[in-house]
Amino acid sequence: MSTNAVKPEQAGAGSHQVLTFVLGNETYGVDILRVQEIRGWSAVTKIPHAPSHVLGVLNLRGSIVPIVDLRMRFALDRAEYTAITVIIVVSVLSAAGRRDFGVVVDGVSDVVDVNTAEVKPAPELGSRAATDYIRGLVSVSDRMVVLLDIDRLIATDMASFSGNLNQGETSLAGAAA
Amino acid sequence: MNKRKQGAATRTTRRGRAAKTPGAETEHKSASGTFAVAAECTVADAGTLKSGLAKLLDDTGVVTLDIGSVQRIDTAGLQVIATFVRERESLGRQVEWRGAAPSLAAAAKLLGLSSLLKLPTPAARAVETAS
Amino acid sequence: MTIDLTQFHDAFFEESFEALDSMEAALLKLDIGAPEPELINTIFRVAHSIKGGSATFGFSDIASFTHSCETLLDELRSGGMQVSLDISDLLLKTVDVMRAMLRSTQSKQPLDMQRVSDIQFDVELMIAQKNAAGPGNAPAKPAAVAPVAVAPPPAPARAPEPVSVAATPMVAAVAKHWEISFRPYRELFARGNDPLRMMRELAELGELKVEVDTSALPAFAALDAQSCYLAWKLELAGDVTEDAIKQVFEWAEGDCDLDLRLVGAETTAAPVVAAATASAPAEVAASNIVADAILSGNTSPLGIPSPPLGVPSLTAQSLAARSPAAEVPKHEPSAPAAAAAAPTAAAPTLTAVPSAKQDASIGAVGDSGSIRVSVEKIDELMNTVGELVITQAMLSQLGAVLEGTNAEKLRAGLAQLERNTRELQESVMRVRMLPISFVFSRFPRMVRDIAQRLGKQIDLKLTGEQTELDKTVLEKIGDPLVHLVRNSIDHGIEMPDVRIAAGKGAAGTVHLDACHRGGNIAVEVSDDGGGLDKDRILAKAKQRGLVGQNDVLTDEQIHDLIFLPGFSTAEKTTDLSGRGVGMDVVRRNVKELGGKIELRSERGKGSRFIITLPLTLAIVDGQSVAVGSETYIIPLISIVESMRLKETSISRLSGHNEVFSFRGDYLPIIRLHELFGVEPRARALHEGLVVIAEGDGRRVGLFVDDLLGQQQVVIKSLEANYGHVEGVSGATILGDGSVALILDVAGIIHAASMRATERPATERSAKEPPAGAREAPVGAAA
Repeated sequence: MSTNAVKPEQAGAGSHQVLTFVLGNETYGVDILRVQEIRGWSAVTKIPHAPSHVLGVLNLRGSIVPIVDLRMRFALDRAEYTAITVIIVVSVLSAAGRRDFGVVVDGVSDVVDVNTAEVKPAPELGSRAATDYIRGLVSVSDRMVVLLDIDRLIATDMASFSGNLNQGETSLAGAAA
Repeated sequence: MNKRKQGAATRTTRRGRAAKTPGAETEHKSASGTFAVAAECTVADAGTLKSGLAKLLDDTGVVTLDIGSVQRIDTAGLQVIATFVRERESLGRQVEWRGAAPSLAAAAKLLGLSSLLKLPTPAARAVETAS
Repeated sequence: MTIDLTQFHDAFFEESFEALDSMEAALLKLDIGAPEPELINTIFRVAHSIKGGSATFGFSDIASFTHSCETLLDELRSGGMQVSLDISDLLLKTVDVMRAMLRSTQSKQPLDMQRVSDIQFDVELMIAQKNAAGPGNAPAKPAAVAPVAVAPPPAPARAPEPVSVAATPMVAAVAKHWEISFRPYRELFARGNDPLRMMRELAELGELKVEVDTSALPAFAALDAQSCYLAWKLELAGDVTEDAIKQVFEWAEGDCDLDLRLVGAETTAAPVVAAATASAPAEVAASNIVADAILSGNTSPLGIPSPPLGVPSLTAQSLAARSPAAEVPKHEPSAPAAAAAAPTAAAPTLTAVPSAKQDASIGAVGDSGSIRVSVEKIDELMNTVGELVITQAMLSQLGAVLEGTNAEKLRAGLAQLERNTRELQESVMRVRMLPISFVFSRFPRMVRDIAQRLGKQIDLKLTGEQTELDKTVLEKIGDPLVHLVRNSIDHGIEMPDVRIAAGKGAAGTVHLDACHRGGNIAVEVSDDGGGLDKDRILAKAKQRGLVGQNDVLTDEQIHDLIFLPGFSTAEKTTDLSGRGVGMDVVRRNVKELGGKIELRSERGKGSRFIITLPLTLAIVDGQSVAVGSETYIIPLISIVESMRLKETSISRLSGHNEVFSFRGDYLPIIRLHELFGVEPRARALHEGLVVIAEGDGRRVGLFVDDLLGQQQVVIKSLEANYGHVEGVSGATILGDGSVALILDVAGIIHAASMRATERPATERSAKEPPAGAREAPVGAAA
């Protein structure tokens, strides 16, 4: 009678569901529990002096949500935004609390079960920071899926987010004749 | 585990009560339980008090409530005890008191619950012991 | 399962703080010579309620302290003591202490218990002196004198009541018979009320018969331990007023059905003899059906524990020895007067008093027409309505371009929707609105204290207290106003002799006023004091390098100087008659609310601060402007005007810095496209438009491509998911569903001038210390 109660938990520890998406030639995965919604592309409002991969903000049912281009974040060639460009809205947990972000990807593939035991750590590739946001690699139907640690991915961006305007040309001083 | 068993017992008695045939009860326990009521019996503690008493609700023996250490009690606390006593009574089961709690007695009197609780006056206690 | 009692605490604290505010207000209104009974009743009720509530929650320190206050107040209420300035001062101090105790309990912070026990000692001393000095009372009442300190264990809870019984023996006792139906709602316990406490209090009022109704009690398994299922039918006999009964149930108001019925009343002759006072308590005790039981329970909730820190034992004897002989005659007149009153003559007095009390209690009952709603719930509602507004705008845009047979009908429906939406939005907004009296009410006390300390005479005038504004704005405007009022008293109003010498009345006036002006709220703090000394301000500013030696400033510009950070802090210790302290902070707070502050002052006549605030922080009236493909919103409150520049009115300084002349001043131009890194449509200044905007007391021209239109926009946080962007205060969603950033003019000016300081060798920054340069160019006069 008690086994029934425990089973889901064991299953939870052993495997979890991942939303996979395509970016260039690679397949990436994010924890399905972090995905808020998937929506089509629409024009964003630019934010002054944001990092270049932060495209701007969108209205997501009343909240203002920043949109990150993962291609640019991963330094891939930039793709055109078309009607089939997809934005995955994910929740990020940071010291500042929960934040919602949209990430622009080439296309959404599937939801797959990933057995935690089969997740391999990402190989050390010299610079630690570059792979910091990779939680591990897993093989799904003979394809390698890069599992992303979305918190780390976005957290590294947070610091650069407070826009600093002091790079331009306009000046107030010298107003006196 | 204990809790689960309690639940089952409750269901049994409910049926028994509905049928109004005491004989329908299947469980028979002769061991009587004693429950020491905590010193603090206010609204904050009422939940704990209730779950403590719940275990004894279906005790077929005589349940003794030891109120000797009760210091503070409010309406919420007394309401739990009163409900317990009333339900035991309606099932034809006895509740006895041990110890004296002036604060509890005073509260019962002020709230008009003395007769329901049948708290022993010193004289009455002597009679009960005799019988 | 144990429940967290703190969930009930919030309501208790909230209500207690409000109650203390009204107690304070009542104390301040109290006329020393002839105090209004109703005011004293109000004050008494507050102490009584807080005592009851804190006892219920086990805040024994508060209960103990308020118990002492209650005893003193009861003396005042019953006429046993007269309201003196000393007493009202002491009671004001008790308000502070109660507030501090509640606050420290709420925040679980430690408290200066020495101060608590000091004030409690003073209160008990005050009571004891009365009792010691009162004719013939002293030997009879040691227990009543200082219940906390000397009462033997059996009597703590009842100690104050015998006092009141003893104090009014001359009045004819009216034995009444009340039938009370008390049917609590389920959540009564959850609101911190305990019927037991009420019964106990009722039992103290008269002879109480209790009949409990247990019919609503569920089966044990279904019992929610924190819900109240019991109801009572009570009979109370004795000299009990309706008001007294209602007072017992005061905190349960709104959490129960209460029905009071007077079944019969008979007037009996009052015990006239003073000797009766001694036996009265005993009689009352005997008549209470359960008095013995309660008294033997030494830990009953109302049982007041001994004071926290060694309050010395007070006994009537020792106090009698200490109290000056002069005390005795002071109290004597009241006693003979009361004794002279025959029972018959006293009867009308009795009826007169309760009727006044009843009016008040009716008022209190009427208050239950309102409910407490958490701010989060209202914010949620606001958000949803905000969404609705956006959706409605989207539909309207769509409807405008539709064609076909039904398009007209659709448009009519959409127009209706728009009206309804706007009404809904306004209604919701009104829910958040509170009268500014919530803030104003703290000033009478504050002004009184400061004036006393400084030896000045101040008349405080409050007008427009019913002007409503958003709760958030209200909460944040308090501190700036306190600052301004304090400054007015401290630096504005002169000492009485100076005023008389100047041909003014000895008492200065500080006037607080609030009113609606346009879509904004204007709050004014004015005084008839000395006004600002412009010459000295200017001299100081020049000395500090805030203003060039040869600059000529207008009055307005000079007044603005006191809001500069560098200026004010340096001056606070000097004798400068201006207001120095922290004016920059005041201005910053007002700015944060999206408002502005102006100062008008005339030497010798006084000063006037005018704060203009938006009605709400949730919505802003904005001007949409286009810069390249982007749309920005500039709050209307920051806009002076917009204009197209002629090539001839533009000058370039050092090749870089563009300025233009506007009403005799040269204002710097900030190109928004450059600041925000946007590709503009217009690069030549005469092709676009300049929006003259004001922030931090400075004016600039914001260069944009075009003006789009004015509209009310709902402010959304950019920081919730992203972060702060300098020069941007938030974002909003436009009718087409896209996002537009709302500009923060002060932030833009700051960003631009920060950049200016990084640039070397401009004429002004070379002349000034770097810190000054950031804040400096007031008007940037030529």
